[in-house]
Amino acid sequence: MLKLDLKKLVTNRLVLPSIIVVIVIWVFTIFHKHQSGSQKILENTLSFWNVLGSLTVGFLILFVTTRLFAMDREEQVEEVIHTTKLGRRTLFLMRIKTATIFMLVIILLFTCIQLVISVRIFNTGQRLTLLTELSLWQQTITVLIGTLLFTIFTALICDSFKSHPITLIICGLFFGLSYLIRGSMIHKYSLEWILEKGFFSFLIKGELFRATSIDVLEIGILALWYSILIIGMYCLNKHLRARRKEI
Amino acid sequence: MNLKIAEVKKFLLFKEIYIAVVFCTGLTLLMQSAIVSPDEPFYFWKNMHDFMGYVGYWMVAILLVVGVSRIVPFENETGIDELLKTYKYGKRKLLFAKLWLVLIYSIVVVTFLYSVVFIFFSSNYRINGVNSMLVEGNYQSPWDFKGIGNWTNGQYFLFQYIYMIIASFSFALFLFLISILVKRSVVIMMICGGLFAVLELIKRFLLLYFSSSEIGYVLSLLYHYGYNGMLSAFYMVNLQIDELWKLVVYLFVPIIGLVSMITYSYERRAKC
Repeated sequence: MLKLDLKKLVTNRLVLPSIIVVIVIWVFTIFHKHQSGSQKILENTLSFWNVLGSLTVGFLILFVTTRLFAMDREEQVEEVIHTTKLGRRTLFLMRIKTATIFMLVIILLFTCIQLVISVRIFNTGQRLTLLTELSLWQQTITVLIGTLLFTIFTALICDSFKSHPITLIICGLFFGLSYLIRGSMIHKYSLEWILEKGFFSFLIKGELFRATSIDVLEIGILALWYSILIIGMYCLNKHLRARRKEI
Repeated sequence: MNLKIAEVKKFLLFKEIYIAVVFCTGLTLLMQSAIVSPDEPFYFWKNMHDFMGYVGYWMVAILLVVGVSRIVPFENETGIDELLKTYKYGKRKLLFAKLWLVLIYSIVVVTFLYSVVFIFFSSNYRINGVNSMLVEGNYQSPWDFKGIGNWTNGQYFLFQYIYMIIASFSFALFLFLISILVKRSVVIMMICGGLFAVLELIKRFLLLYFSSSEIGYVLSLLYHYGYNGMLSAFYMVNLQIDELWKLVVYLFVPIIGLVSMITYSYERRAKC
């Protein structure tokens, strides 16, 4: 089951073009920053996840991995699959595992692309400094955690509503909103603060370790909020699956 | 059976629209409440005039993309597409019923958003000065094209309202054309919504890097004369009052072109 679903994800027509577009835009952007004489190598390298990397990850989660959970209904084989022994809960959990493995590989691939391009552009003396920089790896781990959480969340929403468009609207709009609501004037723990930081894009952008004004309490509250989101969505999904006799 | 009523009934069954409406309403109110200030003369009209150009056009775009992308693909996704081709009125008459629905939906979306902000602003500011001229308000608006200072607030608002309906209908027709060619609502949302969002992001983030280059020039032209520019009224920034005919051409020529292409594409695909 794992191999079959992984194959479906890897052979999706959107994956390869997305990776190629990311490489092209990243080469262009980092080359432009290098030409303008910027000495802030690490900052430029870390800026990969700000907009380009995070948007691509969001795109792949919403249009590639989430579709896995709506495909059966679209192809009208859902009823048949539910009659099989492993066609309910086991299949659902296996698909979540497949989606998370796929996104893990994508994040590692993007990290390698980010590093290779940056290392090629900058001179030898600066390369070693870049590779041993702790914040780079901290950022990668943050992005990984955010990606896995978002993948699971969208999977739960898609399976609950059984509709890819509805998942796109709910998750896509909240994800995109965090790019519009930005600014130092946002009060902590306000509704705008939740909309900016509370929907996984904050982690996927790798901002957790780069933000200068974030404290332990804020991290704790965000961790609690993300747990509430995931657990709440899981309970709702379980309830809906039980009603539809899909457990 | 009345085809138009049937199309409306089918349209009202789409759950995605209600989710998008709730989201857009909440977001509009949130954004407007962030900029509310103590009441001063003309502030009601100033905020009403500024709403569409800064925030409202995003909500219009989201609601149109979500709604229109479900109209044609619904039949393909439920498998009744082939059956409809055999129906006596399943071609041109059905198409015009759908286009009528698209027009009504565009009017409803714009009216709804203006109603929401009208209620919000009227609870924060006094509604006075409907017959006062814009020059008395002395503010810069994204719609402030040259020579418009002698219009009253009421005239300017009516102009904006009608402009937004026509611009929204034009954008909705573009979405409708794409939906005839693509036939999957998720892909349509991705293409059209993504294109709109990408151009906005390019304008906000990437144009800083290549504003003086040729790529920057092309991208800013694409934004200026595309649907982003049309819905945000960006096109009107350098327009003079005696050049309103250019605005009419800019709005109506795409509509005529799109209706022709839609009719051709739909009838071509409707052959059994």
